[in-house]
Amino acid sequence: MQIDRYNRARKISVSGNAPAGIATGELLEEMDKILANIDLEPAYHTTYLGASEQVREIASSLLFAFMLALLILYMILASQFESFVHPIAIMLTAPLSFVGAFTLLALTNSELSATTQIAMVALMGLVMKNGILLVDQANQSMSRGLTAKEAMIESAQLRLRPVLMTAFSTIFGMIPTALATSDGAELRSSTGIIVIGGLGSSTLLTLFVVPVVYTLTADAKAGLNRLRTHFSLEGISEMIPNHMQQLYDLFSSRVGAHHDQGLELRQINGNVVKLLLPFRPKHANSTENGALHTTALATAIDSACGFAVMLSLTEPSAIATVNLRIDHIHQPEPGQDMTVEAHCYQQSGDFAYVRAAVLSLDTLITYCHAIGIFKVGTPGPALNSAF
Amino acid sequence: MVQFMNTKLLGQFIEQSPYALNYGTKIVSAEGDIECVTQWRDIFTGNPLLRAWHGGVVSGVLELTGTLAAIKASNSQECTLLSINTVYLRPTRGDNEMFSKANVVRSGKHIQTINAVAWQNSFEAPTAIASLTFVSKW
Repeated sequence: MQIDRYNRARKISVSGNAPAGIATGELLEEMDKILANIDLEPAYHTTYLGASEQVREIASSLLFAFMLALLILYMILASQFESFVHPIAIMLTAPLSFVGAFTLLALTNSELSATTQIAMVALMGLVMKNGILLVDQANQSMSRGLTAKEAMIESAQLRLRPVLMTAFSTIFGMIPTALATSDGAELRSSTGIIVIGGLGSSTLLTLFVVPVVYTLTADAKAGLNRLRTHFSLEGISEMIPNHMQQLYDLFSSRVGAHHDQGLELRQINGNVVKLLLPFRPKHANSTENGALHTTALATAIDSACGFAVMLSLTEPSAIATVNLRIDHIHQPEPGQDMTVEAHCYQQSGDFAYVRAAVLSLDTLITYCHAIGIFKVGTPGPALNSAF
Repeated sequence: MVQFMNTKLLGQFIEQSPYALNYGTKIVSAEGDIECVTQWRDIFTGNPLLRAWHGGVVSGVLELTGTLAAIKASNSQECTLLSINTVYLRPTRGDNEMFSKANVVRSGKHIQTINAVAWQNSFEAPTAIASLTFVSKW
């Protein structure tokens, strides 16, 4: 007679083998249902031992490893890209890989064993390099002044070759493993199948999904910045001294070209003036999908510079533009309002020197830079004499 | 492309551009240098007390004239302005029309360098001159 014990209690073992075609995990779920219907005395309890116990432990530890891997990947990507948003666009490639991985597993009638689950954790890191290649190049292009859409188009063109090269080299490298038929090859071949299927689908889908998510997040970010700028400027405009606002209103109402542009005073800080240049179809470069034409930018710059010079004057004086140089850096975007900043940074004798720029509302894109020289004390009455 | 360069077709280019229509600029001549005329409108006011043209509008009209010259020189409608440097020589008086003329200094394969001049009563007394650099699409 033999009495077996487990955890200081007597045990009665019931053992069995899973029938062919049924995974241990599925069997355990069925066992749970059966055990739930058995009315055991309070002193008795059930537990899984052996392979069943290991399957449960592996499943939970793999889930933990999976979540930890995602967290670490996010942290590394966020620190490298210095962005909380870009890693999300890149990490979306992970679920895209699962599509191909599971499909190929099903087609080859392979099992989702513990080994394949480990392979999936590795696959997750492997597939993200496609997104990294695309987003990294797009960020570099955006830093040169391109919009998110233009940057992603350029990135897709430049990075298609390395994306495909690295993906195909890995896929072809895994083919021998996936097709292995030697003893114990079932464990290894499913790893190969997972990598081939996952990398194949993610490479294909990444080329569509990452650009879409990247541009959408850029649009959302720009929208938020616009809102933030709008509200912050609303707040600041309340801080514009009354007499300055009155001077601006006079300037705007009397200077026809300034009024025609619809320029709005947003901020005054010393001799720096910030104006809102609204998009108006009549100032566009074309009737359909037009952006503000460069001539509209020239008028806005001259107006902003003139007002900045007026702000710098200690006593009323007539002013006139002597020289204005405008360098156009980036094409304005269709239908976009802009910000015009002008700074009268120096006065020397009868001349005032001004720097100006036309920027996107979130100030991330500089459309043009300008420098101007104004004559102070030209003949004739001064517009600001009332102040 | 030679056909495109006559006055009528350059005029059509102006009519298709909202900003150019807003100026109301008309082509006087497209034979050789481009010459245009722009009638005074109150929305062009820069100094209301002197009733003078706005410097930005003067620069804009010179740019438009220069653009037409660049289009003609490059045989391309897609000329993008890289830089404009406008020097204001005299007040451009309101209530008077403004003439503008642009000549091509050099038309390279991709870059066009244009000089433009604005005057009112006499070409000998220009009110503003501008140097413009365009890049045509390639």
